[in-house]
This record gives sequence, structure tokens and C-alpha cells, in this order.
Amino acid sequence: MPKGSTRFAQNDVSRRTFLSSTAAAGVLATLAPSLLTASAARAAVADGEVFSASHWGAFTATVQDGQWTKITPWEKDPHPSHQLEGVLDSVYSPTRIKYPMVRRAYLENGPGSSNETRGQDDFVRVSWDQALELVVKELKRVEETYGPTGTYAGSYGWKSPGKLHNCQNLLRRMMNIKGNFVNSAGDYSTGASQVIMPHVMGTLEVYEQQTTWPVVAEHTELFVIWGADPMVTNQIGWIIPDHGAYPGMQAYKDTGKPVICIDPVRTESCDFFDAEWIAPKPQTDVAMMLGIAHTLYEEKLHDADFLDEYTFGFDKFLPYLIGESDGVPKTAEWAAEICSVPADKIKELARLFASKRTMLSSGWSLQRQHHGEQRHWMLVTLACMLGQIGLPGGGFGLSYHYSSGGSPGASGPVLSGITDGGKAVDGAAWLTESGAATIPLARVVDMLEGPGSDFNFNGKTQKYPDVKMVYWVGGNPFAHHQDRNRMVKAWQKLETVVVHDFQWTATARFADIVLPATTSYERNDIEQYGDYSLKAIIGMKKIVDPLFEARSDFDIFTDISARLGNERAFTEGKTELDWIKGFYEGAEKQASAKNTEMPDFDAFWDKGYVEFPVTEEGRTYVRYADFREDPLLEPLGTPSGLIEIYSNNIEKMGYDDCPPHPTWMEPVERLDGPNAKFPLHVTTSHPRGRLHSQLNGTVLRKTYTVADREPCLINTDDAAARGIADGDIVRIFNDRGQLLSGATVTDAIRPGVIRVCEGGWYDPVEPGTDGSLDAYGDVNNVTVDIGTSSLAQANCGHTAIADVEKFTGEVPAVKVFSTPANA
Amino acid sequence: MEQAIDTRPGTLTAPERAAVYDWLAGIFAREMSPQAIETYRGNNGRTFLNQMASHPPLVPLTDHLHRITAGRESPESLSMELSVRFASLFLGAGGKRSAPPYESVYSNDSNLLYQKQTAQTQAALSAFGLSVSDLFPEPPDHISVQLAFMAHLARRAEQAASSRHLQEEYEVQRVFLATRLLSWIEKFLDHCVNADPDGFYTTAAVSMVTFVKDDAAHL
Repeated sequence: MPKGSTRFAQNDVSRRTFLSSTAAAGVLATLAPSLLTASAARAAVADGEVFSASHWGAFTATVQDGQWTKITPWEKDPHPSHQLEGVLDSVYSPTRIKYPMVRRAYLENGPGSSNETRGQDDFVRVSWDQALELVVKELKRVEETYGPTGTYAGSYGWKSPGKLHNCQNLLRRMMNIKGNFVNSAGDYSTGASQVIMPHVMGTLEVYEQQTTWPVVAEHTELFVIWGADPMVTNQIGWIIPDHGAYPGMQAYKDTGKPVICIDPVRTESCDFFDAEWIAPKPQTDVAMMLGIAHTLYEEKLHDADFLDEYTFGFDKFLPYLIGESDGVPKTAEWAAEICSVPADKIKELARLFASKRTMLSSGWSLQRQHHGEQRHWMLVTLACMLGQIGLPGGGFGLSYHYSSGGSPGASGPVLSGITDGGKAVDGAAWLTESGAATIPLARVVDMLEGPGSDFNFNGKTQKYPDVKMVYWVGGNPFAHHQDRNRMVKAWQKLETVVVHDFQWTATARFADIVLPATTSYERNDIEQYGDYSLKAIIGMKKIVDPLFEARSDFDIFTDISARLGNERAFTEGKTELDWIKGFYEGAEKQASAKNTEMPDFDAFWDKGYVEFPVTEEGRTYVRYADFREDPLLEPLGTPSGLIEIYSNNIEKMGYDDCPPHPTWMEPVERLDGPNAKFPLHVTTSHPRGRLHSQLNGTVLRKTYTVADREPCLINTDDAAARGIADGDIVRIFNDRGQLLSGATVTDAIRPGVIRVCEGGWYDPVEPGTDGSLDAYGDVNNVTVDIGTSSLAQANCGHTAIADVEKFTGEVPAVKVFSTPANA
Repeated sequence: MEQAIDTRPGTLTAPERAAVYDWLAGIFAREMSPQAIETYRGNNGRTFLNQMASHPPLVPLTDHLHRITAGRESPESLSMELSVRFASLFLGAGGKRSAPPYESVYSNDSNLLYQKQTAQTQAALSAFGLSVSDLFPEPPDHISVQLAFMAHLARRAEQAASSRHLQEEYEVQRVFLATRLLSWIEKFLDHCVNADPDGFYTTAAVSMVTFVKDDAAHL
């Protein structure tokens, strides 16, 4: 007992006078605010069922007593994702950001205070008014002090779907109306391919409809899955997934025709199709493809007519392939030395591909590696040599694993959405060049470390701006960016970091001002169903009222704009429902031009969705059939109008790390590569039980963690050599960082490779300390943070070698989810 | 003995019980403002604390308050220290261990907010024509709402017209304490102890738990 107790105990206050004085009663009135009112409960949404949607699918929410109690997949969803359960869970997570919060040192001492303690500092609650005043004051100060390039608002991430509450657009809309800012180009998924493919195919390729699954089931004789796991990744969609790939894959499987999976991991898809599994060393795919190409050429299995009529530059590539230009013929034997797949198998693949109608599908892991641009360029070259591009079921496809590419399409209208308010610029929207400056987004840490220094990007040389403030909404760079320790240090340079989110992600923990955003289930929106099929428009109805003091990003940016004197420009005088109705009515006009009937908005909103029938054209779509039919009338968007196996434009750029034709180059580090310092490759696949880092903080974790950590697949021999047993906690480490993980010992991964899926929440045992052990398992502690090449400057999230050992120290608790069960 | 406490064996009058419940509700409802600290330091505040200290379960809390307000630290600075602990424990900030102040978290394997306990507490409030104030955007199973509801029930009992009615009022209180607060506040306290063993809010939770258990025993 503290000393004071004696004095209090001796105090002569009788029971009778306990709180009898008016003064004391008055004190109580000031100390205890009235928490209850004599009235009905806060206006809540009515009990019943609400139809809504998410990245994981459309669903019906059951609301009881004003609470969301159950989530049921839409009956029209052919393959609902088990992750839906985590959606409901995320809304009611104890780790919700409940109130506006400010880092203590920042609140007490202002911008730039104690930046080195970001990530370990305490937060305190402030009122919305105080929080928004801080944000507005800082936006103004940074602009006045450092100019328009002082603020980075290139915020990236898997924001929620919905045409209105597109937080990235809303942020840039607020910033564009206010003035200017540093923007970003590209994304972490396909950063290399989306820059090289326009040079090669004249389109992005990665986000486009594929030859449909019914066509594949009917015509394809061999389906190759090169570095992808479509059974896993098609669960999610950038908008609302229709899961059309699942019946498509089932239909192909039912034909009994073969599938080959080329992957370091025997994937769920490999098991589903009972496919042949070929496991080259990671990052050596270009060499393996060259070996196949060389065999095709040597054995005259290549389609010279196709190469002649539809492609440009094979003649300039050929000397490299056969070794005339560099003295190294890219034979199957040469490739086998590099990729470890036997030369006979490489030759067999070449003959097999040439003998059948072959679809070469590939995921994006291949291009999230050093020199990632070369992978899909070489895959396209291989497909050109096979000569089946534009034929039903042949060619190549870079989106069969994503958002159900190949799901047959409808002829419905396209919904517009809220714009970022920036000036229209030439080129694709995904390579936005609005803003005072634009950086390739995966180079954000390079930018922070090297203001004023030059960087190359797709033929241009620019200087990194000197950014002092970062504004991030609906994204988690402390999950998706590489080399976590380097990033933590670079973040310390920033004077102010503002984050909107609904959960305490690592990014929120490393911020100064944290604003509580609603989940998309606490606001109304509208979105399309089927990323490629566009089979329906769905009203994403609010299910429950905003929790705690959460506000929608639209409301937050409206309020900020109002404080900057720009409210009218930001909202255009329209409410949430006005905007939604406007998008719908725009679609109605398009539909009417196509003689398609749509119900009026009220009838649509009441029913919850409007469907559009799949057309015969949509069902039988064959990618590049038009081009094949008439390459002169339907030229590609490349300089030559043909598929460019050699690019004069890239040649002009003169990059030594991105030559003008597909080329094998040693990555900065790889399994058994020259001077490899560590013995294992770390592959960082997309997880089965979450969307990148989303839903990691939910009940779904119980479906995949090992020893409460992110699982690590390790080959039986590699585990035995290290005394690691199934279920052990292991430490994965290299010179960049270290993380704990739970071992799953298996033969479903090739020797020399371990796998930890990306998106595990960063959980440093000593936040802010360089090289801190990560208790949960964020694999980006060990990945390399360099650009794929001067061309695309994309991330290399699959480039990492490391070692692993059984962890024998005192096991730190996993704290990042703040689950009470751990306390 | 005065009329109001005739029919129950406890040591506090109904207004006293209500006052304690209200006070505890206020402590867990919001961070302590600099003004509240000034109040505790003033004469009226001292009297208030001394009076609260006459009830033994509250002594740890009144001692702790006396100790932290006795120093020379400015009200703003002290308020900041307490706010930081409040945010870490109750608002889910940062990766530190926390003690979410909601029954749902402790009464379900999922550890989620807004489970059936939230609706059940709302139902109990609704039965008396009450709801959570718009100024307090928290679910009904927040510790402070449940404590404030007990304060309300205690005040109601004071108005009871007859001894029989009074017994009925006590029964309502007994049931609410048994089904709601007593089912989880010790687990909540465990979390406070784990997360912040010597902190003010852990002491407040110690006094709160002791008081509620003592009150239930006397009902």
C-alpha cells in the first residue's frame, strides 16, 4: 500500500457523510459524464438481410439487433471463398482504429519530432476537429516550405472496391484541387510486365481478358501454368470477383487433358489438376525458356510463317539464341545447368508444346524478380515460335490466375467512378503522370534516401523529389514493400506521415496522424461483378453504421477540402447517394445505346443488383483472333504493329539491365548463383487465406498459422539437414533481416527453396531497431529492394536468398494482432 | 438506520452506490482531462476523494489518484501520461498488449467486438428505455456503459415505493451484475495487470472489481 493510504484510512469521514456534501456531488458531475440517455437506441440499420459485396465476392449479410451476425455467399457465386468469414471478423476486430490518434511526440512537439521512435511510440486520442486541423496545417506548411513536391500522395494498395469510396482517387482528388503532389506509377503486382508488355504487345496484357475457359476446355490440348496458383489467387478480385475461373478450370479438368505446373512449389492447382510438376530453380525461368526455344529452332519445330507474318525482330533475337552474338548457344544442356531441369526434359517440353494446342499461362511471380521484364517477354517469344497466338486455346495468357481471367463476358455497360480530379494525360491511367512529379511506386524508399538523385524509368531520366510528408490511405506499405529494415530507417526522414485505415496495420503504427476510416461495410457504394466478365452491377449497401468515430474516406476528404476552402470543388455538391446514382445513370445511358434495358436506380438499389447476360461473343472470345485474322487491319499498338521480339525503342534507351530482346541475365542473387551467400531461395507466394496483408488480423489465421506464426514450407531434406521438425519455430535470416516462422516440412516444395507467403503483418520484437527479429513472419524482412531494371523499376519481391535454422531462443509473443488471447 | 438502507445489508446508501458506479464509469469512459486533474487537486476534489476512500474497496484507487495528483507535474503533462496508457490499453493503439473494455471480447472464443453480449446489454438498457448517448460512440457492452447502467438501477431503487418493489429492484441489479459485469470483469482485470501492472488503470480496475464484487455480495 502506498503511504497515502494510511492518511486516507484515518480520515474521519463517517459513512453518513459519504458524498453528502454538495461540493462532492458537484465534483462527481464533472468527473462522470452522462453515458446513457432516455431514448431508443441510436438509429441503426434495420434488422434483416443486406446484400453487399467485397474483394472476396458478393454476399448477404444478416443483421440482428443492429449487429452483423452472419455472412452468406451469394447463391449465384459458383465458388465462394472461405475468406468471406474473415470479412465479417475484420469489421469487429479489437484492433479497429476507433478514434483519430496522434503519435505522442508529434502531438507534443510538432512535425519531425523523434522520428527515430516511429513504430514504437505511444499514441493518444484527439478529436476529429483537432486531427483534421493538424492535417490541414501540415499540408499547408509542407507546401509553403517545400513546394508541391514536398508531399507524396502516391498511396498504393488494395483499397476496398466501390466506384465512390476509392480512397486513392479521393486522396489525389483532394490533393489535386488543393495544388500538387508527388504521385506514383505502376503497382506491386505486375510492375515489370505492365511496362514491358506495351513495348512487346502494345497492351498491358496482365489486366486483360483471356481466351475464355470454355474455349480452353474445348480446344487446348496442354495447359501450362508457369509460376502461378490460380486455384488460390482467383479467390480475390480487384472489384467483385465472379469466380468464373473455377467452373472453367473444372471444365478443363473434366476433359482429362494434361496440365503442367512449372513452379518451385507443388501448388494447390497442381494437385487439383493432378498435373505434372516441374520445379526449376527460382529466377531461372528465362534460361529454361531459352532452352525450350533453342530446341524448337534446332529441331525445326518453330513456326517460321507465324514469326514472319506476326512478329518483328526474331532475326535479331536468333543470333543470341543460337550463340552467334555471344558465343553461347542457349541449348537445353546450357539451360539445364542453370535451371536444374534435365536437358532431356527441356527438349521433351519443346516437342510436347509444339505437338499440341498449348496454352502457356503464367503468373506474375516471375516478373517480381530482378530482371523481371525478361520473363514474360521470353514467354511471348516462345509462344510466337509455337505460332498459336490467336488460335482457339493456344498462345499465352498472363491473367488466368487473376480475378478470373477467362470468365466469359457479358455485354453490359461499364460503370464510371469518382476521378482523382487531375488533368487527363496521354497514356494508360495506370501509369498516371499527373502530379508535380511521378515515381515508379516501388522506388519509394530510393526516393526517400536519395532526393535529387537521378533515376531511370521507361526511357526517361528524372530526379527524385525531396519528400517531407507522406499521406497513405487504404494500403499497407509496411507489408508490400521489400527490405523492411531499410524502409523503417528511410521512413524516419519524413516529417509527417498521415494514414487512414480501419485496423492498426504496421503502416498505421509507423504513422504520426492516424484517422479511423470505415470499412466498406459501413457505407454505401456501387461496383461491377466480374473483373473481366462484367456480368452484373451490384449495390454495395451499408450493412452497419460506422463503428466508434470512423468516417468514410469521402467524408474525411470532404472535411479537409472544406477546411482548405475547396468543399464544393471536391463534392461537386453531391452526397454519397447522389454520386452512386450518377454512376448508375451513366451506365444506363450506355446500356440504352446498346438497346439493353436496365431498371431505374431505385428499382436497382432495392433489388441490390442488375445482371447482364453472357453473350455468345463473350463466351467464345479468343485473344488475338482479330490480329491473327488480319494483322494489317488489326495491328497491335506497338511501333511495328506486330509482336516485338526485338524493340527498337528499348534499344534506344540503352539500358544494360534491359537489353532490346529477351535475355538471360544473372539476378543480383539466386539459389546456387555466382557468389550466393546463402543456401536457400525464399519464395513469397500470394497466401491462400488472405488478400496480401488483408484479413491477416482475423479468424482466418487459425486456418494456416504454424506455432502461431506465418508458415514456412521447407523440403524434407533441407529440414532434416538442419534438425527442423514439422511444427518447429524457425528463424529465417540473411544480411537484410530476420523473421520467425512455423515450419511445415513437406516434399511439396523443391529442395533449396523455402516459402513464406507475403502479407504477414510486420511484428518487430524491437520496433524501430535495425534488424529486429520479426515475431510473426513478414517475409519482406529478407527480400531485396531494388528495381527490376531501369525500364520498369518494379519490385523484386521474389528475389531473396537466406538461410533457416531451428529457433532455440526465448520465443517472443506475437503482438501485432493484439488478440487478447495472447495477453 | 435510515429508511433507504433498511432493507439491505450493505454499507452504502443507494445514492452512494450510484455515485461510485458513475465515478468508475467515468474513469473507464474517457481519458482524464487536465480539468479533471485540477478538480482532484482542488479542495472539493480532495473532499470527494476522502469520502470515496471511506469505502474500503475504493482505497487503492483513491490512494493512486492522491499519489499521482500530489506531485508538481502539470495537469497537461499528467493528463498526457494517462491518455497514452488509456489509448494503449483501451483504444487498441500500437502493438502492445491491451485490455479491450468490452464484454464480448472476453466471453467468446473469437475475441471479437459486437457479439451477442453487446445485443444483450442493449436489451437490458432498452427494457428501461435507455440507450448509449450519441456522445459516447461505444458499444453497449463497454465497461463504462454497464457501470453507468448499475448507477441508474441504484438510483431507481431509491425511488421504490415499497419494500416489495425494492426487492424487485434489487433482483434486477443482482441479475445484471451476475449475467453481465461479474462474468467478465476479472478477466478484464487480468489483462490490465498483464499489460500495465503498476499503472493507474490497473489500480482503477482492481478497485472496480473489488467494489462490484462487494456490492453484489451485499445485494
